[in-house]
Amino acid sequence: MLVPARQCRPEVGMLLLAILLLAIGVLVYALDRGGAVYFLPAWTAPYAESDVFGPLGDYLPTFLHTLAFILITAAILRPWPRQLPAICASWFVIECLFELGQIAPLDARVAAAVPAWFEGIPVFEITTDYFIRGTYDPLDILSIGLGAVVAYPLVHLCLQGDR
Amino acid sequence: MNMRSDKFRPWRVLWLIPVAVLAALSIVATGGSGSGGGNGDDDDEVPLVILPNYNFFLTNLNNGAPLTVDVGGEFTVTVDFDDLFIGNLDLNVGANDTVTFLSYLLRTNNRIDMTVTSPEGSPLDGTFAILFTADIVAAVGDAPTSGSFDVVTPVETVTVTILANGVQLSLNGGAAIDYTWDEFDDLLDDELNETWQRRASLAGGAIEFIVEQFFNVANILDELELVTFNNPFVDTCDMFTGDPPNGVLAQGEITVTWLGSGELSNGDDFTWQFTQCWDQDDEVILDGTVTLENYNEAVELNTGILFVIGFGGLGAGAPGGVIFDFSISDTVENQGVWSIPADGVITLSGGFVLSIQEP
Repeated sequence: MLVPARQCRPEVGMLLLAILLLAIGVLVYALDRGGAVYFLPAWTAPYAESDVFGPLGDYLPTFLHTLAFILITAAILRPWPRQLPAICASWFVIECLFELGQIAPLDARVAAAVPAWFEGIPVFEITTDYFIRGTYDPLDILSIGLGAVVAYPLVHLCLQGDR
Repeated sequence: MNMRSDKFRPWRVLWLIPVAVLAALSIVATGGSGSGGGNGDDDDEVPLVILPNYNFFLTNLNNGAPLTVDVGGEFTVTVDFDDLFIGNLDLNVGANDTVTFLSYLLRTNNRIDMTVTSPEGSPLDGTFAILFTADIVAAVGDAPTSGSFDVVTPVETVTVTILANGVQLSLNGGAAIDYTWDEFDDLLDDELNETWQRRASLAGGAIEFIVEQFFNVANILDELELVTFNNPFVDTCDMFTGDPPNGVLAQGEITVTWLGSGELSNGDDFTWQFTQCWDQDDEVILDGTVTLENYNEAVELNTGILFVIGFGGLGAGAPGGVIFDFSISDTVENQGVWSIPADGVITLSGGFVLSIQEP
């Protein structure tokens, strides 16, 4: 008996796309950024420092991260298409706050405000390093904005069947 | 017909909480991309680039021990950096990355809370705040040339305005009185002066002292890597020109000991031991230990730019810093015999976290 193939729900598609985008972001760090980031094991570093993504590699992670998390949020909130502008704007603001927190001397103030209990907890423990050692770049803000702008039609495309 | 009229399930909104946490953690986890101090000796390592200008930050040690200065047994001053004490440095980089500090700036809105106690009781006893109301600018080793700060107690505010060749003091917005730097320094010592004048002088002296201690440590940062190759590094001090004070060596020494191994790395500690070390220029004996805990250096991988260096972490609970167990003793000479005046010993304990960062 022939059974019609069940159509994939749009939120599943958006989540898979988001995972793919985040994976590309990880690749940028693994291949072009020396692998010396917290979330990559140290043994990846010697294999890194290629130039696969070229100059784009400098800004691709912020672009992809914004885009991916808008897709994830839209998938969770589906079918609320009217929320989409607010979702895009919210992620733009959140991502920008992290970027702006790297501007000196604000970075030191943010670092000083990090609670003591973060110490020793994986990932949390490098919050201070993120702000102190991270470098603010206005082009990162641009790439975040671009991610938010691109996300809008992309989510609409994914939700085409929704009425 | 393709029907996808799925109803929204409100409980789904709860998923936004872990999503937000995941987003924040994934942003933070991209940190730490700077290389630690001295890490790696690859042939293709990018040369270190030291910028001509950096911000610097001082804050209280996270172990809760404030910088405390005992002044000749007459009174004790405890320094509490309110949040971060922020400044900016201009420097010159010479051969082999040798750094010479040229000038500095202490930022408006810095605040230091100071508590004075004395064994016999003094009008200066109590807590007061030093509030920076305009950037203080100075060449390293010289008196500041501009800036202002207020010395605030619950009942009065003394405004200290820095002039080209001295300061101007004003109590509660009243008439301003001009002083040369020497006159301003001497206000503290004369008990006949008004308390507000003495307190302003003490505040000025405290700022000068903190800046001196900062530069003392900052000046050895570019030598630490050398210490790791000659560990411990020992240097002799000036020899007394006549008879040294009783019980003091004619020639003391400084020993810098690196407590790490392998290559200089983040988290390493140093001890900076002064053994009755006489400084002929300032005519003081330095004695005791300055412990430099949790060395912290980060270099941008692609450009080689040094963007963080210091001791201790700025985050709450972060360990380390510059920790004093140390004294500075005045020496006076009389017919070829040196001695230490009874009230001429300044003792330091506690310390501060020190971080120099790319602006």
